[in-house]
Amino acid sequence: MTHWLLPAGYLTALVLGVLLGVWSGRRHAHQRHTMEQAAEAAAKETSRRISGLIRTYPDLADAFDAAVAAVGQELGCDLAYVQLVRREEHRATVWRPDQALARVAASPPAAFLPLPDEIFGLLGAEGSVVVEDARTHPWLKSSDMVAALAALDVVSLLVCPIASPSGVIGAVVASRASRRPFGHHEVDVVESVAWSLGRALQNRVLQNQQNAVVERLEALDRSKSDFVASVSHELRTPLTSIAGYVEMLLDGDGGPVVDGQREMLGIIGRNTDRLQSLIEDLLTIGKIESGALCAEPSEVPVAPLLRAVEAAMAPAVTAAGLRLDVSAGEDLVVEGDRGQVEQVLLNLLGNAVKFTPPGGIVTVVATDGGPGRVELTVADTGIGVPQQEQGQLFTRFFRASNATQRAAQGAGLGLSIVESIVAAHGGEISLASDEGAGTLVTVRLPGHARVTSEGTAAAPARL
Amino acid sequence: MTDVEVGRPRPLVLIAEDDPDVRELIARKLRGEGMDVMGVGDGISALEAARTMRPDLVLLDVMMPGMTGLQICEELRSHVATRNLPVVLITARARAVDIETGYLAGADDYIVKPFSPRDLVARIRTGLRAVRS
Repeated sequence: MTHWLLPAGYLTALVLGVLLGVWSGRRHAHQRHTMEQAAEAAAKETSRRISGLIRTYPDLADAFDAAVAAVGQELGCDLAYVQLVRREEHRATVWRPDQALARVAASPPAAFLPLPDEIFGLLGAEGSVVVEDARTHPWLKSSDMVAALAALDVVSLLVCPIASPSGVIGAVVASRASRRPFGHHEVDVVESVAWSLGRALQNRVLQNQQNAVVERLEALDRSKSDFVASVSHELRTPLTSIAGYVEMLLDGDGGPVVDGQREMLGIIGRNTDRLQSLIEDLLTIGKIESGALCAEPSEVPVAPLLRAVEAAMAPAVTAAGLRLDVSAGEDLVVEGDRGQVEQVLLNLLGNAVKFTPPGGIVTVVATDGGPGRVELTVADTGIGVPQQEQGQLFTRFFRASNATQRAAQGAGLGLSIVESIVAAHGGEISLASDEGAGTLVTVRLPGHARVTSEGTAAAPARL
Repeated sequence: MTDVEVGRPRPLVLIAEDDPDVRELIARKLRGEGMDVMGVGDGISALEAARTMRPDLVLLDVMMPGMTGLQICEELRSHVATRNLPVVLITARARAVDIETGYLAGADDYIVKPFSPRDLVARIRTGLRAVRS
């Protein structure tokens, strides 16, 4: 048995051995592969961490300091620095193990530390340079460079360019005093740091440009606001004299007034009022254009606002021989500027009253417009707007043909102002009209219904 | 109308307004209402007149050369002699923030151009009554 068992056992061992050998070779290959993956993952993680670090510093010089220190430590360097080459000045932050970071600058950048400018000439626009032994590398021929590198104790060297759209503007340099070369994962890390620093620089340039634009716009806005304020003053002052003297004359302060004179003074007075409301409209448009609308948003209870608007419109409604019905839920609140929401209602009601023949009805209703919305509708039984002109109604100075035919006064600014105010509040406006039958304007503004003590929103109540 | 308490038969109102037509408009109206008026066209004269003429009420235009109505108002409020002098500001600026600034400067009332002369008289009478009571 043993006689032939031995060879059998030997064979088995041989086969097993071969199998084992194959297996172990595979295992080693697998291990190498795993280690490679781990190194790559570690390099990515390091790049990610340093790039994140760069982003946390609002000050660019601090970001550069942090980046170069991280590169020096993580890659086990004997020297690391980041160098920026600018027309007017060269700057660098130098890291050495166990030493404080040193910021150096040279202006004019004649003989600049740590390395001569020459190194940038050797770099391609994108490519990094890896030098295993700087003392013998043919690439570094200049005696200046060799001397500089020797003085810095540089043997193994890695230079990664910091690129900008205008070309190479600097470099991240890592070096060791031994011949331990920088591996491709280390190159990846430093390249990604250089890329992040380049991007941070570009962002800063863009940010500076944006800041300059914002400053210019702010100055423009201020001069525009000043202009509106001056115009307001210059126009209102002469109006004060005109309107004031008309009132005094009508009051008899200048002596008795005969009927014909009274009628003429009445026309002057009416047109003064008209001029005044035109000035107010133009000033409102000035404010809209300078973006000053909706500067003071607050919670505006709708019912009291509608009562105020109803009271303000009452004389005009009576004079036009109309009926005004107003209803609103007591609990509705609009989020916006009270004065502007009031102006929306006054402008819409003004139109309704102006374009509704005697005996007609104007209806204002405020309702809960669904989540986050209050709906305000102004309806009239007036002359309406021709179908083909409805799309232009919100255009400044546009006036419907049936309005001009009736010689109704107005500049065509009211609805444009309404639309601007509604838009500035983030609301919506729509208009439906049948010529000869009436007009319905619906405005939806941000708002809500306050829940009443019974836990339900109250139904609209006649005011 | 006599006013024994302030020792004058008619109340004296100081009008500080740089626009001569508006100044004259106000002066005419107030004279017609039985008041004495004195008009000045700039801030410095306004402050001086308020101190030397001892008016019963001051109307101050906000935008004036020399000193603004707001500055004059603050100045009047900081001196004992003029601390309780009623001040009505007149302005062409009608923004809420302008009106608030006016009251912060110590004004008793605030009227916006263009105003009704009748309304102005009513406010002046209110101002004069307030200081007497």
